[in-house]
Amino acid sequence: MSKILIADDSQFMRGILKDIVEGAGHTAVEAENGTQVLEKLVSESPDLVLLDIIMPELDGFGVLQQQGQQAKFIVISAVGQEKMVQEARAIGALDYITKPFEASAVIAAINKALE
Amino acid sequence: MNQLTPEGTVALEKMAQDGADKASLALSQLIGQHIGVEAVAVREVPLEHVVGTIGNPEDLVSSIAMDISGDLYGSVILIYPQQSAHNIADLLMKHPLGSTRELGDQECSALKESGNIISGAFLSALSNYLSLNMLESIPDLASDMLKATLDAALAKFAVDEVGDAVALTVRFSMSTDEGAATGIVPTIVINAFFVLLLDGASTRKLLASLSRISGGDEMTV
Repeated sequence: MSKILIADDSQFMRGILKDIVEGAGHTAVEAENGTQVLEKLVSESPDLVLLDIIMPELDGFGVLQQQGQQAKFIVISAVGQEKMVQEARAIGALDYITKPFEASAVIAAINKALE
Repeated sequence: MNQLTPEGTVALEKMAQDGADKASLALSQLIGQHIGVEAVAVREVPLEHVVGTIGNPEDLVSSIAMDISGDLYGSVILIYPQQSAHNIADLLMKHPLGSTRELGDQECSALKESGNIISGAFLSALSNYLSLNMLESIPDLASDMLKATLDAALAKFAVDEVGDAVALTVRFSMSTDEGAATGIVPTIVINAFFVLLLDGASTRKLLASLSRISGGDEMTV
């Protein structure tokens, strides 16, 4: 069982992802903006972060640039533009899932990242 | 006002269809049942006529607006007529249809995410097709009369830019398969209007890209 930080400004989307994460047997913690992600990387020491791109205060790209390789990151975002996907991967995202997603795709990405 | 060429209009319609298909897939996955796109229409209209293409100025709507930055500057707005907003909130929240009479925090969050995903699908299609970079802002939801909603969006544009700006409206209505298949569950119709507002410089950039692509290259969207 791993600790997974769900970072999304949408309460609705955090709920969906929390059900997926906990259904797969992991512990979920939540952040609703990029600043909280950086704080919880220190206070919660998650094994993995499911990271939205469009968030207040600090967006997902800002988090990836500032995170200091403290955890593994999978980006889950409505932004599916190829340049954005490439940029996220270039600065540390292990995987990039475009919303909407199948729960099985998220679980597969989590399992692969935690290997 | 800028003019779309016939070729540019065709290219934009195909791109919008692709975006609408992706948006319907997005909603299907969010809701857990198939949502089909019944109609997509692309129209280039002067900003002052946008309200008339959607409904009456006093119609109550819920709108999810996002600013666009990057290679193009403007706004995208997803507009649900009030009943459609309540229907889609019920579907997203997995509540019995007719439950939502007003939008609480959970319903607003679900609607904003639907706008985020639908707009993301459209902008991704546009971006990948035109090779233009676009980033949307955090969605902002408002429930108000249609005219007030659009006036708020137009207020972001400088007065001297409005005349050159372009508004592209895409109308798509969706109905669940479940009603038609069972004959028991009523078919749920959700109407939504997607409005893309671009400033003058961005409009010229969009039209130039469309013209270049529709002039020779085969479309891949």
